[in-house]
Amino acid sequence: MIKIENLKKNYSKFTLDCSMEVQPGMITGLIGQNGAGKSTTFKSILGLISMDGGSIEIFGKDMSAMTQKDRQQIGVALSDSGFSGWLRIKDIIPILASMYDAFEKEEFIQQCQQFKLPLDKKLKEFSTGMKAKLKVLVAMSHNASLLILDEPTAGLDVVAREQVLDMLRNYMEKDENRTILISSHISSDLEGLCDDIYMIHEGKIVLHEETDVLLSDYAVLKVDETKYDLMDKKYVIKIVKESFGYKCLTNQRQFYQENYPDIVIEKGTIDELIMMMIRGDK
Amino acid sequence: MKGLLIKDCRLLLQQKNFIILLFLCTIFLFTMAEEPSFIIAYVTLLMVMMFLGTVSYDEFDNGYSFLFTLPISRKEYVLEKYVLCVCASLGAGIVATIACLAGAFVRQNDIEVQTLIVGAACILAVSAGILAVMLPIILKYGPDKLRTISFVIAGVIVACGMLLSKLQIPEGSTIDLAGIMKFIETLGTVGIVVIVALIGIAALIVSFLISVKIMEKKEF
Repeated sequence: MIKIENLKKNYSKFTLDCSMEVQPGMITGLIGQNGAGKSTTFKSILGLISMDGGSIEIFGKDMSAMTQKDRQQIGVALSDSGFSGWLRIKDIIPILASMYDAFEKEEFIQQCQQFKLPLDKKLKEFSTGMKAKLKVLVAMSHNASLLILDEPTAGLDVVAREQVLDMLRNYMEKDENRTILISSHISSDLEGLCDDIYMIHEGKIVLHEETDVLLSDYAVLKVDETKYDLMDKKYVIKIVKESFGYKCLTNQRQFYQENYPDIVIEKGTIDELIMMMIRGDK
Repeated sequence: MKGLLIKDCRLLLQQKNFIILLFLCTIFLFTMAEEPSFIIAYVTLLMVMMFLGTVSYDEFDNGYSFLFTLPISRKEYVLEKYVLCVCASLGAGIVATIACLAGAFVRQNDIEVQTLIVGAACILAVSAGILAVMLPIILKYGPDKLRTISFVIAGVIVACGMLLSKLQIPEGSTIDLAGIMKFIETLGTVGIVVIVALIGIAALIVSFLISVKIMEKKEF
Protein backbone atom coordinates (compact mmCIF):
# COMPACT_ATOMS: atom_id res chain seq x y z
CA MET A 1 0.00 0.00 0.00
CA ILE A 2 2.86 2.36 0.88
CA LYS A 3 6.44 1.71 -0.14
CA ILE A 4 9.16 4.08 1.00
CA GLU A 5 12.65 3.53 -0.36
CA ASN A 6 15.62 5.47 0.99
CA LEU A 7 13.56 8.53 1.75
CA LYS A 8 15.93 11.37 2.59
CA LYS A 9 15.17 14.73 4.11
CA ASN A 10 17.90 17.00 5.41
CA TYR A 11 17.48 19.72 7.99
CA SER A 12 20.33 21.62 9.61
CA LYS A 13 20.44 19.38 12.69
CA PHE A 14 18.48 16.35 11.54
CA THR A 15 18.58 13.91 8.67
CA LEU A 16 15.83 11.46 7.83
CA ASP A 17 16.91 8.37 5.94
CA CYS A 18 14.29 5.67 6.03
CA SER A 19 12.76 2.80 4.12
CA MET A 20 9.56 1.04 5.10
CA GLU A 21 6.58 -0.75 3.65
CA VAL A 22 2.94 -0.84 4.69
CA GLN A 23 1.14 -3.96 3.49
CA PRO A 24 -2.52 -3.94 2.39
CA GLY A 25 -4.99 -4.99 5.08
CA MET A 26 -2.50 -4.33 7.88
CA ILE A 27 -2.20 -1.81 10.67
CA THR A 28 1.39 -0.65 10.74
CA GLY A 29 2.67 1.41 13.63
CA LEU A 30 5.55 3.84 13.64
CA ILE A 31 7.05 4.48 17.05
CA GLY A 32 9.88 6.63 18.25
CA GLN A 33 10.81 9.43 20.58
CA ASN A 34 9.77 13.02 20.00
CA GLY A 35 11.92 14.34 17.17
CA ALA A 36 12.87 10.86 15.93
CA GLY A 37 11.41 11.53 12.47
CA LYS A 38 7.84 10.20 12.68
CA SER A 39 6.16 13.42 11.61
CA THR A 40 8.77 14.10 8.92
CA THR A 41 8.07 10.64 7.47
CA PHE A 42 4.31 11.28 7.55
CA LYS A 43 4.67 14.73 6.00
CA SER A 44 6.78 13.24 3.20
CA ILE A 45 4.16 10.57 2.52
CA LEU A 46 1.47 13.25 2.42
CA GLY A 47 3.49 15.52 0.12
CA LEU A 48 3.58 18.32 2.68
CA ILE A 49 7.35 18.59 2.47
CA SER A 50 9.75 18.00 -0.41
CA MET A 51 12.10 15.02 -0.43
CA ASP A 52 15.86 15.30 -0.79
CA GLY A 53 16.13 11.75 -2.12
CA GLY A 54 14.47 8.38 -2.41
CA SER A 55 10.97 7.48 -3.51
CA ILE A 56 7.51 6.97 -2.08
CA GLU A 57 4.88 4.81 -3.75
CA ILE A 58 1.26 4.79 -2.65
CA PHE A 59 -1.23 2.33 -4.20
CA GLY A 60 1.67 1.23 -6.43
CA LYS A 61 2.04 4.70 -7.93
CA ASP A 62 4.82 7.19 -7.48
CA MET A 63 3.63 10.07 -5.31
CA SER A 64 4.03 12.60 -8.10
CA ALA A 65 1.64 10.55 -10.28
CA MET A 66 -1.13 10.51 -7.67
CA THR A 67 -4.41 11.92 -8.97
CA GLN A 68 -7.07 13.61 -6.88
CA LYS A 69 -9.16 10.44 -7.19
CA ASP A 70 -6.25 8.52 -5.63
CA ARG A 71 -6.03 11.08 -2.85
CA GLN A 72 -9.72 10.56 -2.11
CA GLN A 73 -8.72 7.04 -1.10
CA ILE A 74 -6.60 8.38 1.75
CA GLY A 75 -7.96 9.55 5.09
CA VAL A 76 -5.67 11.65 7.23
CA ALA A 77 -5.61 12.77 10.85
CA LEU A 78 -2.77 14.95 12.11
CA SER A 79 -2.24 15.70 15.78
CA ASP A 80 -1.28 19.34 15.27
CA SER A 81 -3.55 20.36 12.42
CA GLY A 82 -7.16 20.13 11.34
CA PHE A 83 -10.07 22.12 10.02
CA SER A 84 -10.18 25.78 11.06
CA GLY A 85 -11.37 26.25 14.64
CA TRP A 86 -13.94 28.79 13.45
CA LEU A 87 -15.86 26.13 11.53
CA ARG A 88 -18.53 23.85 13.00
CA ILE A 89 -19.22 20.23 12.12
CA LYS A 90 -22.23 21.36 10.12
CA ASP A 91 -19.87 23.58 8.08
CA ILE A 92 -17.46 20.70 7.52
CA ILE A 93 -20.13 18.35 6.17
CA PRO A 94 -20.72 20.19 2.84
CA ILE A 95 -16.95 20.68 2.45
CA LEU A 96 -16.29 16.95 2.79
CA ALA A 97 -19.29 16.12 0.61
CA SER A 98 -17.92 18.19 -2.25
CA MET A 99 -14.35 16.95 -1.86
CA TYR A 100 -14.99 13.21 -1.49
CA ASP A 101 -17.26 11.31 -3.87
CA ALA A 102 -17.72 8.54 -1.30
CA PHE A 103 -18.47 10.80 1.69
CA GLU A 104 -21.08 9.09 3.85
CA LYS A 105 -23.00 12.00 5.26
CA GLU A 106 -25.63 10.13 7.26
CA GLU A 107 -23.12 7.80 8.85
CA PHE A 108 -20.79 10.68 9.66
CA ILE A 109 -23.56 12.62 11.41
CA GLN A 110 -24.66 9.48 13.22
CA GLN A 111 -21.11 8.82 14.46
CA CYS A 112 -20.69 12.44 15.56
CA GLN A 113 -23.87 12.08 17.57
CA GLN A 114 -22.73 8.74 18.96
CA PHE A 115 -19.53 10.37 20.24
CA LYS A 116 -21.48 13.38 21.51
CA LEU A 117 -19.83 15.84 19.16
CA PRO A 118 -22.09 18.89 18.79
CA LEU A 119 -22.80 19.80 15.18
CA ASP A 120 -23.26 23.52 15.73
CA LYS A 121 -20.39 24.38 18.05
CA LYS A 122 -17.16 25.94 16.79
CA LEU A 123 -14.31 23.44 16.70
CA LYS A 124 -12.07 25.76 18.73
CA GLU A 125 -14.50 25.29 21.62
CA PHE A 126 -14.14 21.49 21.50
CA SER A 127 -12.15 19.67 24.19
CA THR A 128 -8.92 17.88 23.21
CA GLY A 129 -10.75 14.54 23.20
CA MET A 130 -13.59 15.84 21.05
CA LYS A 131 -11.14 17.31 18.54
CA ALA A 132 -9.19 14.04 18.34
CA LYS A 133 -12.35 11.96 17.82
CA LEU A 134 -13.57 14.33 15.13
CA LYS A 135 -10.24 14.13 13.27
CA VAL A 136 -10.43 10.34 13.18
CA LEU A 137 -14.12 10.43 12.17
CA VAL A 138 -13.29 12.83 9.32
CA ALA A 139 -10.48 10.54 8.15
CA MET A 140 -12.89 7.58 8.16
CA SER A 141 -15.85 9.46 6.68
CA HIS A 142 -15.24 8.78 2.99
CA ASN A 143 -14.56 5.08 2.80
CA ALA A 144 -10.80 5.55 2.37
CA SER A 145 -8.75 2.43 1.81
CA LEU A 146 -5.72 3.94 3.54
CA LEU A 147 -5.70 5.87 6.80
CA ILE A 148 -2.61 7.85 7.75
CA LEU A 149 -2.87 8.87 11.37
CA ASP A 150 -0.15 10.88 13.06
CA GLU A 151 -0.48 10.65 16.84
CA PRO A 152 -4.29 10.41 16.81
CA THR A 153 -4.38 9.67 20.54
CA ALA A 154 -2.00 12.44 21.66
CA GLY A 155 -3.21 14.27 24.74
CA LEU A 156 -6.17 11.96 25.37
CA ASP A 157 -7.12 10.26 28.63
CA VAL A 158 -7.31 6.45 28.81
CA VAL A 159 -11.04 6.27 28.07
CA ALA A 160 -10.90 8.59 25.09
CA ARG A 161 -7.81 6.79 23.76
CA GLU A 162 -9.58 3.46 23.93
CA GLN A 163 -12.62 4.95 22.14
CA VAL A 164 -10.42 6.19 19.29
CA LEU A 165 -8.68 2.81 19.03
CA ASP A 166 -12.06 1.05 18.98
CA MET A 167 -13.16 3.32 16.15
CA LEU A 168 -10.11 2.20 14.19
CA ARG A 169 -10.69 -1.50 14.94
CA ASN A 170 -14.30 -1.20 13.77
CA TYR A 171 -13.14 0.57 10.61
CA MET A 172 -10.75 -2.25 9.80
CA GLU A 173 -13.37 -4.92 10.42
CA LYS A 174 -15.63 -3.58 7.67
CA ASP A 175 -13.21 -4.24 4.81
CA GLU A 176 -10.22 -6.56 4.83
CA ASN A 177 -8.27 -4.42 2.36
CA ARG A 178 -8.33 -1.32 4.51
CA THR A 179 -4.91 -0.30 5.72
CA ILE A 180 -3.70 2.00 8.49
CA LEU A 181 -0.35 3.65 9.09
CA ILE A 182 -0.37 5.08 12.59
CA SER A 183 2.19 6.76 14.79
CA SER A 184 2.06 7.16 18.52
CA HIS A 185 4.43 7.65 21.39
CA ILE A 186 2.02 5.74 23.64
CA SER A 187 3.28 2.23 23.04
CA SER A 188 0.39 0.44 24.72
CA ASP A 189 -1.94 1.90 22.07
CA LEU A 190 0.10 0.29 19.33
CA GLU A 191 0.64 -3.03 21.16
CA GLY A 192 -3.07 -3.73 21.11
CA LEU A 193 -3.74 -2.43 17.63
CA CYS A 194 -0.89 -2.92 15.17
CA ASP A 195 0.03 -5.96 13.11
CA ASP A 196 3.60 -4.78 12.69
CA ILE A 197 5.70 -2.02 14.11
CA TYR A 198 8.54 0.09 12.79
CA MET A 199 10.75 1.89 15.25
CA ILE A 200 12.47 5.07 14.16
CA HIS A 201 15.38 6.67 15.96
CA GLU A 202 17.37 9.74 14.92
CA GLY A 203 15.84 9.60 11.45
CA LYS A 204 16.58 5.92 10.81
CA ILE A 205 14.43 2.80 11.05
CA VAL A 206 16.15 0.75 13.75
CA LEU A 207 13.65 -2.07 14.05
CA HIS A 208 10.79 -3.68 12.12
CA GLU A 209 8.91 -6.59 13.59
CA GLU A 210 5.44 -8.12 13.75
CA THR A 211 3.77 -7.08 17.00
CA ASP A 212 3.03 -10.70 18.00
CA VAL A 213 6.69 -11.65 17.56
CA LEU A 214 7.76 -8.54 19.42
CA LEU A 215 5.61 -9.40 22.40
CA SER A 216 6.30 -13.14 22.40
CA ASP A 217 9.96 -13.48 21.38
CA TYR A 218 11.55 -10.29 22.60
CA ALA A 219 12.62 -10.14 26.24
CA VAL A 220 14.93 -8.34 28.60
CA LEU A 221 17.50 -10.44 30.43
CA LYS A 222 18.79 -9.15 33.74
CA VAL A 223 22.14 -10.69 34.63
CA ASP A 224 25.04 -10.01 36.98
CA GLU A 225 28.57 -9.72 35.61
CA THR A 226 29.49 -13.39 36.21
CA LYS A 227 26.41 -14.73 34.42
CA TYR A 228 26.89 -12.16 31.69
CA ASP A 229 30.43 -13.40 31.03
CA LEU A 230 29.25 -17.02 30.82
CA MET A 231 26.12 -16.35 28.79
CA ASP A 232 25.88 -17.03 25.05
CA LYS A 233 25.32 -13.59 23.52
CA LYS A 234 24.54 -14.57 19.95
CA TYR A 235 20.85 -13.60 20.32
CA VAL A 236 21.49 -10.43 22.30
CA ILE A 237 20.57 -7.33 20.33
CA LYS A 238 21.34 -4.55 22.79
CA ILE A 239 23.13 -4.31 26.10
CA VAL A 240 22.77 -1.70 28.83
CA LYS A 241 25.15 -1.55 31.81
CA GLU A 242 23.28 -1.32 35.11
CA SER A 243 24.31 -1.18 38.79
CA PHE A 244 23.50 -4.89 39.25
CA GLY A 245 25.23 -6.00 36.05
CA TYR A 246 23.68 -5.90 32.58
CA LYS A 247 20.29 -5.64 30.94
CA CYS A 248 20.24 -7.43 27.59
CA LEU A 249 17.57 -7.25 24.92
CA THR A 250 17.02 -10.49 23.03
CA ASN A 251 14.72 -11.59 20.24
CA GLN A 252 15.02 -15.27 21.28
CA ARG A 253 13.39 -15.41 24.69
CA GLN A 254 12.83 -19.15 24.54
CA PHE A 255 16.52 -19.87 23.92
CA TYR A 256 17.52 -18.14 27.15
CA GLN A 257 14.55 -19.58 29.07
CA GLU A 258 15.58 -23.11 28.14
CA ASN A 259 19.36 -22.75 28.43
CA TYR A 260 19.68 -20.31 31.32
CA PRO A 261 16.76 -21.03 33.66
CA ASP A 262 18.40 -19.15 36.53
CA ILE A 263 18.56 -15.73 34.89
CA VAL A 264 15.79 -13.16 35.26
CA ILE A 265 13.84 -12.82 32.03
CA GLU A 266 11.27 -10.07 31.67
CA LYS A 267 8.76 -10.17 28.85
CA GLY A 268 9.37 -7.47 26.29
CA THR A 269 7.08 -4.49 26.11
CA ILE A 270 7.32 -1.84 23.47
CA ASP A 271 8.33 0.74 26.08
CA GLU A 272 11.18 -1.48 27.25
CA LEU A 273 12.13 -2.12 23.67
CA ILE A 274 12.32 1.58 22.88
CA MET A 275 14.45 2.21 25.97
CA MET A 276 16.83 -0.64 25.12
CA MET A 277 17.10 0.21 21.44
CA ILE A 278 17.91 3.82 22.21
CA ARG A 279 20.11 3.45 25.29
CA GLY A 280 21.70 0.12 24.53
CA ASP A 281 25.04 -0.71 22.93
CA LYS A 282 25.83 -3.70 20.78
CA MET B 1 -12.38 23.90 -5.78
CA LYS B 2 -16.04 23.80 -4.78
CA GLY B 3 -15.14 22.47 -1.35
CA LEU B 4 -12.63 25.27 -0.81
CA LEU B 5 -15.17 27.88 -1.86
CA ILE B 6 -17.70 26.42 0.57
CA LYS B 7 -15.06 26.49 3.32
CA ASP B 8 -14.23 30.15 2.71
CA CYS B 9 -17.89 31.19 2.45
CA ARG B 10 -18.62 29.40 5.73
CA LEU B 11 -15.64 31.12 7.34
CA LEU B 12 -16.73 34.51 6.04
CA LEU B 13 -20.20 33.95 7.43
CA GLN B 14 -18.55 33.84 10.83
CA GLN B 15 -17.86 37.54 10.28
CA LYS B 16 -21.52 38.36 9.77
CA ASN B 17 -21.35 41.18 12.35
CA PHE B 18 -18.61 42.82 10.32
CA ILE B 19 -20.61 42.37 7.12
CA ILE B 20 -23.69 43.97 8.75
CA LEU B 21 -21.51 46.85 9.96
CA LEU B 22 -20.06 47.26 6.48
CA PHE B 23 -23.56 47.30 5.01
CA LEU B 24 -24.75 49.94 7.51
CA CYS B 25 -21.66 52.09 6.87
CA THR B 26 -22.29 51.86 3.14
CA ILE B 27 -25.90 52.95 3.55
CA PHE B 28 -24.72 55.84 5.75
CA LEU B 29 -22.10 56.86 3.18
CA PHE B 30 -24.62 56.46 0.42
CA THR B 31 -26.95 58.98 2.03
CA MET B 32 -24.18 61.40 3.04
CA ALA B 33 -21.39 61.25 0.50
CA GLU B 34 -21.51 63.47 -2.52
CA GLU B 35 -18.84 61.56 -4.40
CA PRO B 36 -20.18 58.20 -5.67
CA SER B 37 -16.77 56.92 -6.72
CA PHE B 38 -15.69 57.12 -3.07
CA ILE B 39 -18.51 54.74 -2.07
CA ILE B 40 -17.56 52.32 -4.85
CA ALA B 41 -13.90 52.39 -3.82
CA TYR B 42 -14.76 51.98 -0.13
CA VAL B 43 -17.05 48.98 -0.64
CA THR B 44 -14.83 47.26 -3.21
CA LEU B 45 -11.59 47.58 -1.27
CA LEU B 46 -13.18 46.54 2.02
CA MET B 47 -14.60 43.42 0.40
CA VAL B 48 -11.21 42.56 -1.12
CA MET B 49 -9.51 42.94 2.26
CA MET B 50 -12.18 40.84 3.94
CA PHE B 51 -11.86 38.01 1.43
CA LEU B 52 -8.07 38.16 1.55
CA GLY B 53 -8.47 37.54 5.28
CA THR B 54 -9.58 33.96 4.57
CA VAL B 55 -5.89 33.09 4.10
CA SER B 56 -5.37 33.92 7.79
CA TYR B 57 -7.99 31.34 8.75
CA ASP B 58 -6.26 28.72 6.62
CA GLU B 59 -2.84 29.44 8.04
CA PHE B 60 -3.90 29.81 11.66
CA ASP B 61 -2.97 26.99 14.04
CA ASN B 62 -0.94 25.12 11.43
CA GLY B 63 -4.09 24.66 9.33
CA TYR B 64 -2.28 24.38 6.00
CA SER B 65 -0.88 20.95 6.88
CA PHE B 66 -4.32 19.37 7.11
CA LEU B 67 -5.75 21.43 4.26
CA PHE B 68 -3.20 20.03 1.82
CA THR B 69 -3.89 16.45 2.85
CA LEU B 70 -7.37 16.91 1.36
CA PRO B 71 -7.79 15.99 -2.32
CA ILE B 72 -6.85 19.44 -3.62
CA SER B 73 -3.69 20.61 -5.34
CA ARG B 74 -1.77 23.68 -4.28
CA LYS B 75 -2.50 25.26 -7.68
CA GLU B 76 -6.20 24.69 -7.11
CA TYR B 77 -5.96 26.34 -3.69
CA VAL B 78 -4.29 29.43 -5.18
CA LEU B 79 -6.81 29.57 -8.03
CA GLU B 80 -9.67 29.42 -5.53
CA LYS B 81 -8.27 32.40 -3.62
CA TYR B 82 -8.00 34.45 -6.81
CA VAL B 83 -11.47 33.44 -7.99
CA LEU B 84 -12.95 34.26 -4.57
CA CYS B 85 -11.26 37.65 -4.24
CA VAL B 86 -11.90 38.70 -7.87
CA CYS B 87 -15.58 37.70 -7.58
CA ALA B 88 -15.86 39.63 -4.30
CA SER B 89 -14.21 42.69 -5.80
CA LEU B 90 -16.24 42.56 -9.03
CA GLY B 91 -19.49 41.84 -7.20
CA ALA B 92 -18.99 44.66 -4.69
CA GLY B 93 -17.88 47.12 -7.40
CA ILE B 94 -20.81 46.34 -9.70
CA VAL B 95 -23.42 46.42 -6.92
CA ALA B 96 -22.02 49.71 -5.55
CA THR B 97 -21.96 51.26 -9.04
CA ILE B 98 -25.56 50.22 -9.75
CA ALA B 99 -26.60 51.50 -6.30
CA CYS B 100 -24.89 54.85 -6.97
CA LEU B 101 -26.56 55.16 -10.36
CA ALA B 102 -29.96 54.23 -8.91
CA GLY B 103 -29.45 56.66 -6.01
CA ALA B 104 -28.56 59.47 -8.38
CA PHE B 105 -31.60 58.65 -10.50
CA VAL B 106 -33.93 58.66 -7.45
CA ARG B 107 -32.47 61.91 -6.09
CA GLN B 108 -32.47 63.32 -9.62
CA ASN B 109 -28.84 64.34 -9.19
CA ASP B 110 -26.83 65.34 -12.14
CA ILE B 111 -24.45 62.47 -12.67
CA GLU B 112 -22.33 61.67 -15.63
CA VAL B 113 -22.87 57.97 -16.19
CA GLN B 114 -19.80 57.57 -18.38
CA THR B 115 -17.49 59.19 -15.83
CA LEU B 116 -18.92 56.99 -13.09
CA ILE B 117 -18.40 53.82 -15.11
CA VAL B 118 -14.84 54.76 -16.04
CA GLY B 119 -14.21 55.62 -12.37
CA ALA B 120 -15.65 52.26 -11.26
CA ALA B 121 -13.51 50.43 -13.83
CA CYS B 122 -10.41 52.21 -12.54
CA ILE B 123 -11.32 51.32 -8.96
CA LEU B 124 -11.76 47.67 -9.96
CA ALA B 125 -8.39 47.78 -11.73
CA VAL B 126 -6.79 49.27 -8.61
CA SER B 127 -8.37 46.55 -6.46
CA ALA B 128 -7.08 43.95 -8.95
CA GLY B 129 -3.65 45.54 -8.61
CA ILE B 130 -3.86 45.41 -4.80
CA LEU B 131 -4.94 41.79 -5.00
CA ALA B 132 -2.16 40.99 -7.45
CA VAL B 133 0.45 42.42 -5.09
CA MET B 134 -0.98 41.30 -1.76
CA LEU B 135 -1.97 37.70 -2.40
CA PRO B 136 1.54 36.48 -3.28
CA ILE B 137 2.92 38.39 -0.27
CA ILE B 138 0.35 36.86 2.09
CA LEU B 139 0.98 33.39 0.70
CA LYS B 140 4.75 33.80 0.90
CA TYR B 141 5.17 35.52 4.25
CA GLY B 142 1.86 34.87 5.98
CA PRO B 143 -0.77 37.37 7.09
CA ASP B 144 1.24 38.36 10.19
CA LYS B 145 4.01 39.97 8.19
CA LEU B 146 1.60 41.55 5.73
CA ARG B 147 1.24 44.74 7.80
CA THR B 148 4.98 45.40 7.89
CA ILE B 149 5.37 44.60 4.19
CA SER B 150 2.34 46.79 3.31
CA PHE B 151 3.99 49.75 5.07
CA VAL B 152 7.17 49.18 3.10
CA ILE B 153 5.26 48.92 -0.20
CA ALA B 154 3.17 52.03 0.61
CA GLY B 155 6.41 53.86 1.43
CA VAL B 156 8.00 52.80 -1.84
CA ILE B 157 4.89 53.88 -3.81
CA VAL B 158 4.80 57.29 -2.08
CA ALA B 159 8.53 57.75 -2.66
CA CYS B 160 8.13 56.82 -6.35
CA GLY B 161 5.19 59.23 -6.64
CA MET B 162 7.19 62.05 -5.09
CA LEU B 163 10.12 61.35 -7.37
CA LEU B 164 7.89 61.25 -10.43
CA SER B 165 6.20 64.52 -9.48
CA LYS B 166 9.62 66.21 -9.33
CA LEU B 167 10.61 64.86 -12.70
CA GLN B 168 10.32 67.30 -15.52
CA ILE B 169 10.11 66.40 -19.12
CA PRO B 170 13.40 67.59 -20.56
CA GLU B 171 13.29 69.99 -23.41
CA GLY B 172 13.44 68.34 -26.78
CA SER B 173 11.84 65.17 -25.36
CA THR B 174 9.77 63.14 -27.75
CA ILE B 175 7.06 62.44 -25.10
CA ASP B 176 3.91 64.13 -26.29
CA LEU B 177 1.62 64.39 -23.22
CA ALA B 178 -1.05 66.29 -25.08
CA GLY B 179 -1.03 63.60 -27.74
CA ILE B 180 -1.43 60.87 -25.11
CA MET B 181 -4.37 62.68 -23.54
CA LYS B 182 -5.95 63.12 -26.95
CA PHE B 183 -5.49 59.42 -27.67
CA ILE B 184 -7.20 58.53 -24.35
CA GLU B 185 -10.10 60.80 -25.24
CA THR B 186 -10.53 59.12 -28.61
CA LEU B 187 -10.78 55.70 -26.91
CA GLY B 188 -14.16 56.58 -25.42
CA THR B 189 -15.72 54.99 -22.32
CA VAL B 190 -15.73 51.45 -23.66
CA GLY B 191 -12.14 51.67 -24.86
CA ILE B 192 -10.86 52.97 -21.51
CA VAL B 193 -12.80 50.36 -19.55
CA VAL B 194 -11.46 47.58 -21.81
CA ILE B 195 -7.85 48.77 -21.48
CA VAL B 196 -8.14 49.17 -17.72
CA ALA B 197 -9.73 45.72 -17.46
CA LEU B 198 -6.96 44.19 -19.58
CA ILE B 199 -4.29 45.75 -17.35
CA GLY B 200 -6.07 44.37 -14.25
CA ILE B 201 -6.41 40.89 -15.79
CA ALA B 202 -2.75 40.86 -16.89
CA ALA B 203 -1.63 41.84 -13.38
CA LEU B 204 -3.78 39.07 -11.89
CA ILE B 205 -2.46 36.42 -14.28
CA VAL B 206 1.19 37.28 -13.53
CA SER B 207 0.40 37.39 -9.81
CA PHE B 208 -1.39 34.01 -9.98
CA LEU B 209 1.59 32.35 -11.64
CA ILE B 210 3.92 33.77 -8.97
CA SER B 211 1.57 32.62 -6.19
CA VAL B 212 1.41 29.08 -7.60
CA LYS B 213 5.22 28.92 -7.58
CA ILE B 214 5.28 30.22 -3.99
CA MET B 215 2.76 27.65 -2.78
CA GLU B 216 4.40 24.76 -4.64
CA LYS B 217 7.71 25.52 -2.94
CA LYS B 218 6.19 25.85 0.53
CA GLU B 219 6.69 23.13 3.13
CA PHE B 220 4.20 22.50 5.90
